[in-house]
Amino acid sequence: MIAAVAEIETLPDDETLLLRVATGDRESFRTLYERHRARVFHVAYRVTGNADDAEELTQETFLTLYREARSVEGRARFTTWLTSIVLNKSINLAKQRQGRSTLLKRFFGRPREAERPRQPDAAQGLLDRVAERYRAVLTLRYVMGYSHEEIAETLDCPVGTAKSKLFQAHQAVRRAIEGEGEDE
Amino acid sequence: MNCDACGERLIEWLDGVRAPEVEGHLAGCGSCRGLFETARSTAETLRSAPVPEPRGRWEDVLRRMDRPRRRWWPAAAAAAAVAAAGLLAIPRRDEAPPKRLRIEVVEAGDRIEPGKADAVMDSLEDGTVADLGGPR
Repeated sequence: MIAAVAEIETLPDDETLLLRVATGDRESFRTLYERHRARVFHVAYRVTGNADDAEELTQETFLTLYREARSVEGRARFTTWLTSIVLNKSINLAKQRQGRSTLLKRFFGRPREAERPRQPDAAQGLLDRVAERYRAVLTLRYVMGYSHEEIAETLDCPVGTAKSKLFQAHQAVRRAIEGEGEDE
Repeated sequence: MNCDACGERLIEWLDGVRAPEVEGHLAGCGSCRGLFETARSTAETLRSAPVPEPRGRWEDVLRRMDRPRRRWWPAAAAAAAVAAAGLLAIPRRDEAPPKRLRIEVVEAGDRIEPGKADAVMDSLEDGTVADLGGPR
């Protein structure tokens, strides 16, 4: 037991691993992947609402991490930097999917089978009712449990702006529930 | 306190800060109360969201790392070259026909004799000069 604790304590932190990844160390990269893949996947899943998309985005996020490891030293905390990558990728993909779905709906009257959401849980059912940017900030705050400061760092904005975005997201949920739809 | 000022306190209210003026406004304002209650319910639902298990494996990432990256610029350069060639091949609308040919047509038209029109047209199409008759 004592040996196990000692072993955990000697594991290098994310920033140290990132420095090693920047030199091409794949074992450090693997450690970062195993340590953070569930978190990255969860963000992608909540923003896109699709597990297959989230898997793909998780891989892409870590590939971006590997390729850009050298350029991020000291710029931001590792977790917020990693989250910002997956968040941007997820928002972009969700927008593409939404645009395609709207087109299909216009031409065929209803989404194709593959475009329909799959049995979302209550949280996803709620997130799916608002635009991607609102999903993103709601996910960071309540699903991932980020502080306002961490949200601000992830979104690269002042803390006050982050709180304002969160307020707007709550307003969007309220409008959606009231059936007024959300403004874009 | 009005609704705007109350709304500005929503985030801190969700964080557990209870101010008497906010509580007082909520007690008398159904619209703000609806927003605050929906926000509280949203936060609770999202906080209890189940955590999905990713299926992806390290080997999948490793495979993609070792795959040569597709570069976009050769394809873009090829597409630009094809587009440029296509533009050059399309004659411009204001491009005049060769001057010499136009002069010949006009001169030929002047000298066409009755019954020789078909021969004139054939000669223009195949590039030969027909015997158009008439004075030269």
